[in-house]
Amino acid sequence: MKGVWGRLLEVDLTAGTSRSIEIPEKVYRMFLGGRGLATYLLAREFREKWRFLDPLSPDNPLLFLTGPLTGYYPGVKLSVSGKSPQSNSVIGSVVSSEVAIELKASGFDGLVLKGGCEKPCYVYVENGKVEIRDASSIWGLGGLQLIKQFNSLLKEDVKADPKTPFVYIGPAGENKVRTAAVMAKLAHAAGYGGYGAVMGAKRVKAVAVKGYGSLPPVDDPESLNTLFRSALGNIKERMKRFRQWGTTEGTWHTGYYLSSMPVKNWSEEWHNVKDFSHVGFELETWVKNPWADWGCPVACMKLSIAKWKGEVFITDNPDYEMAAYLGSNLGVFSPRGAVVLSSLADELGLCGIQTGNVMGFAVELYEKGILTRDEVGYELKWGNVECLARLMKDIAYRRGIGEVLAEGTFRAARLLSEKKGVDLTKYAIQVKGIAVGAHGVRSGKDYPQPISYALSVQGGDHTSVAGFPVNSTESEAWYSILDSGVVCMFTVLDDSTLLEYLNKVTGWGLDLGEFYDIGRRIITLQRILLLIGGPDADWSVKDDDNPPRFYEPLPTGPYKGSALKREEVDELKKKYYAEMGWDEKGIPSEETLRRLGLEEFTPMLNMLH
Amino acid sequence: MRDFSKCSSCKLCEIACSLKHEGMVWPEASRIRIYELIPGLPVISTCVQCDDYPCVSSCPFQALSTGEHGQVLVDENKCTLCGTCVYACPGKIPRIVRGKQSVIICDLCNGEPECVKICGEMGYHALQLVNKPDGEIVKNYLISPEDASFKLLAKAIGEE
Amino acid sequence: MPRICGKFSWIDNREVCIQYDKCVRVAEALTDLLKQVEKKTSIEAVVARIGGKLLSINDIICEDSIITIVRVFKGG
Repeated sequence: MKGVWGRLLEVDLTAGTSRSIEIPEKVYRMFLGGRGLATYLLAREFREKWRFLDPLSPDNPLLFLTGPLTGYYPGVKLSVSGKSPQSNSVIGSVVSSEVAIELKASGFDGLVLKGGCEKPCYVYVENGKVEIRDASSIWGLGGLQLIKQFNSLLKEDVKADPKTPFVYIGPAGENKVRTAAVMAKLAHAAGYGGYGAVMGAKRVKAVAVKGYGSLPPVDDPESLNTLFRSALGNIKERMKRFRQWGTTEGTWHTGYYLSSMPVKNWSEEWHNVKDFSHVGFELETWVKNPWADWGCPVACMKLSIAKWKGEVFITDNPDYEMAAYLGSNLGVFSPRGAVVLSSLADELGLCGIQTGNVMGFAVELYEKGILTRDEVGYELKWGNVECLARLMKDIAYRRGIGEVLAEGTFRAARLLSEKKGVDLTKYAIQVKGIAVGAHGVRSGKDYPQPISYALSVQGGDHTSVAGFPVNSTESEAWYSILDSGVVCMFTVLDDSTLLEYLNKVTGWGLDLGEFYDIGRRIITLQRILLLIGGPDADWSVKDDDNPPRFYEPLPTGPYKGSALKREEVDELKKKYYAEMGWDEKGIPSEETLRRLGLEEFTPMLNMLH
Repeated sequence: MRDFSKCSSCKLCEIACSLKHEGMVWPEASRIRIYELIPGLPVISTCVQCDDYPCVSSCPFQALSTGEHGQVLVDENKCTLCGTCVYACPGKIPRIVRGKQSVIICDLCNGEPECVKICGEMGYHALQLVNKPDGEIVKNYLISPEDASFKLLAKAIGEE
Repeated sequence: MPRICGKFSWIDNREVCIQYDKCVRVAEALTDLLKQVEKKTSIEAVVARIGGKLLSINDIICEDSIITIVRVFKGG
């Protein structure tokens, strides 16, 4: 096979052993790699027992996968997945890390961690050889400190090459906080899904990988080289503004212009603070521009710092989602404030989106007197960086009110509703356990549609939105293909180009219909696992919905009064189920499974009827 | 000549170099290496074409020589992978790579380095081929990646 | 005098046309066309083709053309 090796490296942390697992080419052709392959492997391994798998037990596999396009297509993303402690489904999270390249240079398409270490450990893979080493000297660390110390540890402990990339967790992951991310390169995170907690449950602090070989051979190297060069040039030109302004541009564009930015727990979606824009960030916080990941012609990142209370806070940009969720969503409209909170989230190993969301939830509850000063221990105020920083730390260390908030917005709302005898779900801006990304739907000017989040198999994930037509770049099928390629969204060209690329790497000769069938197949299988759910929560057709707040009119801005309409959502829902070949409850039909070659999973449907 | 502040850490130079010399994407076999010990603060590392070419004179098998552009050339038939040149080089730039039968050193792609080209095409312009200045000035680039990284970090965060 | 029409795949292939009095860069044409639709989509989020050929934003168009435009990711 071309473009992939056809094998994964599986490590049993409990037994301390590792082995190579063969994956037939047919599987790659049906699921690609990354998110798709992970979904297939997990469905195949657990089937109906999925319901009883506790995501925070070491029995939950943690998969780091590449795909057929990894290393050949501009940019890099490593897919991180398992059973998500947030949604009880498979979320294909991604993080930009050269671990993806090193894995492929080691002769493997991915690494699967099973079981767990008794004591804090790190996994070191050198050219396919696995070592499980003691991580007690770095347990508890995060951010720059962790990076520096781990670099030294790698050098001393295993004589690692200085170019040995790694992914890691911060204290939040160690404490199995459900909003914890798998981190890379200081400011990158595989946030959606909360896999930082899964890694922490395995007591794995970091995974470092070094490969000395080349990538697998491709089907048409010359043609691919030409495509590569032209793709690089095309992407670079189109994405010039991202290089100059970073995605922080969104703080103004999405906030002021599109009016779809979370402000104070989504109670508003508009602002006009000129300083809270890319220019404000550039003038106040950037120290290095540009910054790119492996093979990337965009370079959307910049290095930012802010000095606050005698400490230096360092992060990337911050990127739009972080600036929004740890900025405007918390009433913080100063670039320095957003950098402080973003840097803190990086250091603690928290997903800025999920954590910013639950923090917004908490501040609103406090404001409304539902959470009291006694319960929190201190005052919670919009825009007050000091108390917000304290709250974030409490979440990462599961201290005080942080204990319940560490469960993520959905579960925190459930727990607090029970405790207080009042329904708090209207303050929870999440879908199926996943906080909604910082792009709202009410103004109608941003890209998400009324069903984007409601029908996504990844809940509130703004990078995997559902839409029509399904066989187009408007649909979740497209995003699932990107997450399985594994391709960075900011370096994509269109579907025809990606298909051409895929065919030249693998030699499969797929057409566009077959290309989108891969996407349909992946999300259909994800849908089944999503509906099976368990053990502590599961979803049904009533959860195919937007957060209640999105039906409330916007109170401010140029689209004041705008809101989603229930009838419109219900109509689009029916249409979408039909398009996907799902029944009126959104359950995939047997016929759909057959058409997509998923017959072996038909018995799982019985659990849903 | 290299500009650390312009380098984005994209490593397209490594990719281009390996594609040119090895015909495939093989980052380990790149003659130019970008060390990103501190994320966002890359260190560019490659041969500087020293005036006195200590690697060339150190080779017991006369496998190294210099070319018309001042580059170091490796004779694959004579190289025995003994590693002497690696230690003779003040920056340990020559590398022995698993899967290759001779040491690898930047050969300036016979006057039109691929790394410089792609870095320029991508608009970063962190690498430039210039006429070599006299004296040992270029050897100052051969600082260890660890040291260089920490200096860049101290500069970025304004440490005293 | 190129008449440039944009076909927006995410708005039911709606077609919007603009008459230019001289050759125009793809970037400019796309920006103008995008301004005409109700979603405020930026140039980074779309990819365009003319008759199946992938366009770069620096390409120049001098003839009457129909540009098919697809959205490939969120606005940023």
